[in-house]
Amino acid sequence: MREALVKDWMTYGVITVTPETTLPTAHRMMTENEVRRLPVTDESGKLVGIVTLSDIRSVETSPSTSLSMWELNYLLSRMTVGEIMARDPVTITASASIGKAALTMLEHKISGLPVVDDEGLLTGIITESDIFSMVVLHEWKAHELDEAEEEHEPLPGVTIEVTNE
Amino acid sequence: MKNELVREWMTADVITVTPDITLPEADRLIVDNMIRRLPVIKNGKLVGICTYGDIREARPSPATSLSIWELNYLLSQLTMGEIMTANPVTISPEVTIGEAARLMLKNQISGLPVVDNHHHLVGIITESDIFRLVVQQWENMEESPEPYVRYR
Repeated sequence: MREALVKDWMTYGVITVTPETTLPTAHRMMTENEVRRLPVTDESGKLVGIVTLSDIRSVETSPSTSLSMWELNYLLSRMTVGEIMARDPVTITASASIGKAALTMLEHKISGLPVVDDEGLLTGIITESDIFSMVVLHEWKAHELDEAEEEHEPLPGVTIEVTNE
Repeated sequence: MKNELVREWMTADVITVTPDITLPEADRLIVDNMIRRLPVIKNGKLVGICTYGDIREARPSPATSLSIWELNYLLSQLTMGEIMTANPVTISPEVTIGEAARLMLKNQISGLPVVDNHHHLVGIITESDIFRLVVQQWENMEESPEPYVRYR
């Protein structure tokens, strides 16, 4: 399973943002699409950074300042992804193995890797969740366990007769 | 690999809250500790769980005809007891990782509070913990990799 390739397990249609996208817009995109990270690309589709839900939440939950709620909200609404994104994100290629992708995530303490081609253009993304689902469904056959659970009938009682011969 | 026990791979030192903790306090805990869920404990027993999704969707009632100030005030007063998902899916420490993984996939959740026979919380096991186990086995690592909390 670890020899499976990234290209067979990655998500191809990645939701992305640009450095000019505002934080509230990025946050809403993550919520609506149920993703935890958004690769950041420039006009040519080249990967320039990555922003995670954690990053945005850290900014939103800042310690209280002398600013009023209105002032704080105004400032937050104008902040852009470019100001908080991680530049030069760790990436992987589509031809790499899942094992390599997993090890890379672990080593860098991240849970998602943008997939790029030789020119640095974003082609997809692979996450810890993808690998988890893949291993559990295909290697551990979770769906078979589910089916077994559903088909299982209670065992009939067994009566043993003891006779004296 | 899938027959390893939950007990061996769970995090025993869990950050938890009580039902009276407010939404802003819980939000702070989640962000500062870089975690995704907070088990809610009452009288030593697990009574619910609160995720970022629960916080995000929290609304005071009645939410209509309130000014922005009233709304904000009421939101800041909401407690875990009101926001949490009660009676969450749990797992025993004595079952396998394979069973934990199956439960997570089936319920579409990425973490399971681990409870003993008396419903006391003894740990938590997440998708990330299982991921770490898988990678460790693939790489035949000698040392266990660090737990999830420092992931982005």
